[in-house]
Amino acid sequence: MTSVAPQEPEVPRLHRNLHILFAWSGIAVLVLFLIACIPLMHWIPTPVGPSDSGDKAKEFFSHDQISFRFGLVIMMLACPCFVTWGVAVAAQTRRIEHRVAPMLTYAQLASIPAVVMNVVLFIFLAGAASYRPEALSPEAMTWINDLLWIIFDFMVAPLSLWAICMGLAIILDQRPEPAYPRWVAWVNFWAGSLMLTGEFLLFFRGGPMAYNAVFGLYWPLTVFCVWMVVMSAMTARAVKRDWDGGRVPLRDDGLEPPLTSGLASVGIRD
Amino acid sequence: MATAANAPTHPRTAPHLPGETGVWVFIIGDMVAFAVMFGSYMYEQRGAPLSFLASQQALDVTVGTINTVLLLTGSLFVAYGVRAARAGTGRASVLFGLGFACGLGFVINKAVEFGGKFADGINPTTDTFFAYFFFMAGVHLLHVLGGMAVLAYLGRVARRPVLNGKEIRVVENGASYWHLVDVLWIVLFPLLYLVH
Amino acid sequence: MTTTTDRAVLGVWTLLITATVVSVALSDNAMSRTGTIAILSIAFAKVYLVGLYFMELRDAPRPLRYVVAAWCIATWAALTGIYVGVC
Repeated sequence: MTSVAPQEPEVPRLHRNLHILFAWSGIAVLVLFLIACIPLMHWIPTPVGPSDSGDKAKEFFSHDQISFRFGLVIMMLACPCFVTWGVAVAAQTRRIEHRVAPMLTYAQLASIPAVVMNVVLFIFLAGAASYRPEALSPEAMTWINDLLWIIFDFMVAPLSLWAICMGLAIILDQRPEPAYPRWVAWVNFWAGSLMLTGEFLLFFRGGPMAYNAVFGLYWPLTVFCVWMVVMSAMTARAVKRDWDGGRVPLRDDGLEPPLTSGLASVGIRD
Repeated sequence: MATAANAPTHPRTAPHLPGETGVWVFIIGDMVAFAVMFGSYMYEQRGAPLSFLASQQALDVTVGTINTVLLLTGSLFVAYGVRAARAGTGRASVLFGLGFACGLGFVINKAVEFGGKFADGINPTTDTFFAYFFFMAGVHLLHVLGGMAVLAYLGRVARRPVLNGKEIRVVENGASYWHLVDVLWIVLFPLLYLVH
Repeated sequence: MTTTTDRAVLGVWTLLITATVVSVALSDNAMSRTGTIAILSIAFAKVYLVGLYFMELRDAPRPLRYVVAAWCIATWAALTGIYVGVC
């Protein structure tokens, strides 16, 4: 920590630890999410599929309501963890882009509310469905079930954008000590492209691409989990390496020469 | 540095990773994704073999075979292209262009095949077989299009006969991705067209 | 700069084309168990050949070669097993 000014030794260390904690909160997202969806809500594996009857849907929402609603509360707790994880990763992207306009950082930051809003919408509707299911007909329950699954499965494009931007940022990291090893960029490209298998679920009410099947749900979920684990671990590692090597400046501005277009040699001045 | 057709250019003593680690992470990851698709398809087929067989009658095996030959030949050109790039013969760009042409042939052939199916009223929602057919072949087609873009880029990179280490690595990355596209079709073709 | 010659690459290509034709010949519009197992086996053998000679795994670090081989074996085993009815 040789670059720390002597009169403020503790603040940077606390900030470093917080950054690492935020990075690892991605694991918290996964754990909370899976605990909520599997044992509490019995939401995964899909209890009521596109070819199931309205009576089955109504029965699902009418039973185990306490456990279901508690699972929704747990999911709600996962949402701020997603924010903390997202900004931890985006902060590293910001450091990579510290000499240029940080548009990859902005793309990631802009994706966070899209994803959180999607989860929150799911929680609202699922909560309402289990709040008073006796007031709804089986047909209405079928529609709500379909709606919930479409919300749950369909919105992966912002996550893909996020992953692609992260991969690009890592590839473009020109610093002598890059934050992430290059293979992490390829994991991001892999995840970003292969999470999209579920985007065709609207066309199918059965088969492998429906919202309850392997390409609609299980494969994108697996890819998402792998991606979050890798990014959590590698972001924490990036923070540790930066700090422990004492390479972190307290401020970014004023430390690098201004970026020029390089055309001065042909007479064009910036 | 010209190479006699029979002689290795430089026998290697140390192992050499073609391209970089990350591209192989991507390749293996993609292979795992497709293995899941293959397994899922086979599982469904085992559950409804007669229905699948009936639907498979609508496929033209010759079209599929031509596609296989096109991709294998494309891979041959790309493999030669990488060797030419390393040897500095200056022919790498042309070879990548030939690989691109093979990919283009595949895409055109596939477009005609899909178009014919749609004209006959067959689409991904017709039955489970065709859901898998269009999905797996469609995702693979996207990979081929990506591969063609990669080969076009490699053709540009390899325009100069002698390439530095970083450019060779780029060439190897791109070529490895192309071979992945070939590998996936090598399994996909028999699964969709030949196995009943 | 590999231990494979240009001619070996061409030879492998010829072998792959031949294997393709053999696979097509083996298939007919019936559900033959041995035929299918043969076709699947040929397919994964082709994959491994492409890996060794086109993807240059012959000269690559051993772990990578083993990973690709493992994928071939595992996927072949899964598909054959599912087809035959084992899993």
